Amino acid sequence: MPRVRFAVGCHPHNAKHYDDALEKLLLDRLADARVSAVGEIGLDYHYDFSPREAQREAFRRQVRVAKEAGLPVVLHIREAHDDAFSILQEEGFPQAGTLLHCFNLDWAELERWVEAGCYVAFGGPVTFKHADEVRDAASHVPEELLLTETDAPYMTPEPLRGATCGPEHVVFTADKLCEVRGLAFGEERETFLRKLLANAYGLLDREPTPWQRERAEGLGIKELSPTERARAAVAQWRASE
Amino acid sequence: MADERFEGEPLFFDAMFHQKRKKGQWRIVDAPYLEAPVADTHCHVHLLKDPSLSLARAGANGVEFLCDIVDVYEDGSAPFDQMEGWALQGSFKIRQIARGGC
Repeated sequence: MPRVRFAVGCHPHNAKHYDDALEKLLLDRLADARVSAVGEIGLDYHYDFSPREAQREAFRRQVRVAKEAGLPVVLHIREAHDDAFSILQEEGFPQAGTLLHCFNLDWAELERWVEAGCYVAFGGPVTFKHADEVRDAASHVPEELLLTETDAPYMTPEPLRGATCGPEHVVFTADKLCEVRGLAFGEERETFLRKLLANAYGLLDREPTPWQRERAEGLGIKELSPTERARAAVAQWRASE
Repeated sequence: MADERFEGEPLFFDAMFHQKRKKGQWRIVDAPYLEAPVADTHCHVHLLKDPSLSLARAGANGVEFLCDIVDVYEDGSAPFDQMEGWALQGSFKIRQIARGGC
């Protein structure tokens, strides 16, 4: 079974709801030791479900939260890369890391993010038929900053577009990344795939930060032992039936 | 909420990949051969119809790590409260689907 961690944040679509009360809830959720990142946060000027000023404010505040908590950020940016990059430059990129999720543009855009040390996750778009610029971008990203993802239940990769995406579909994306980087079957691909997995563990499977431990202690949240976690799992299962 | 486009889609109790065809037909597609396990660093498992089955399907296909992305405004506490239970259920389902489903 896969090891599961969480990222939690206020999506730019919901930025208009981001106020002090929601930020407090976010801080409380971040105290959970299973949380390893703040996200997805950012700017979405394609849908504009929240006013742009509200999006920028919520994004800026959550970058500050992530920095205070010592956690990486997971970014959702759509048609707003200039503004998002400026905000991160002004606030400073989090030391714990920045992950650009579901990248679907070209290397000309991506280059500055990579130079800033951001991780880049490729999902379904790298497999889409008319996305040569995305595949070209994927071929340029340094191996140590490259990640795989799905965005399930959305962004189903080819050849399965039209069906619900699940986390298992990431195998198609990983295979496409091997292809665009021209890797030979066998050792070359294995080394590459293991590096990508190690990148994911390194960025997102981190120990709780001192801030998280302190916040959890303040909230009276206890870290569970393996036995307690197993008991909790059985109780959750029974409750769901 | 999960995308409404996928409402009514069958839930396949197996570890295979199903491609949607015309007239409600589905075709099985071979999974690519990968030389090592992989990670899904961004998914919303809690939005899927059967999160425990999705975890099992992921595990059966070599997904070793995943990060569930939760929205603090709209997702509530359910993903946090239920993930351990889904994982436990999934650990039973993975044995069934790895044997070819039932």
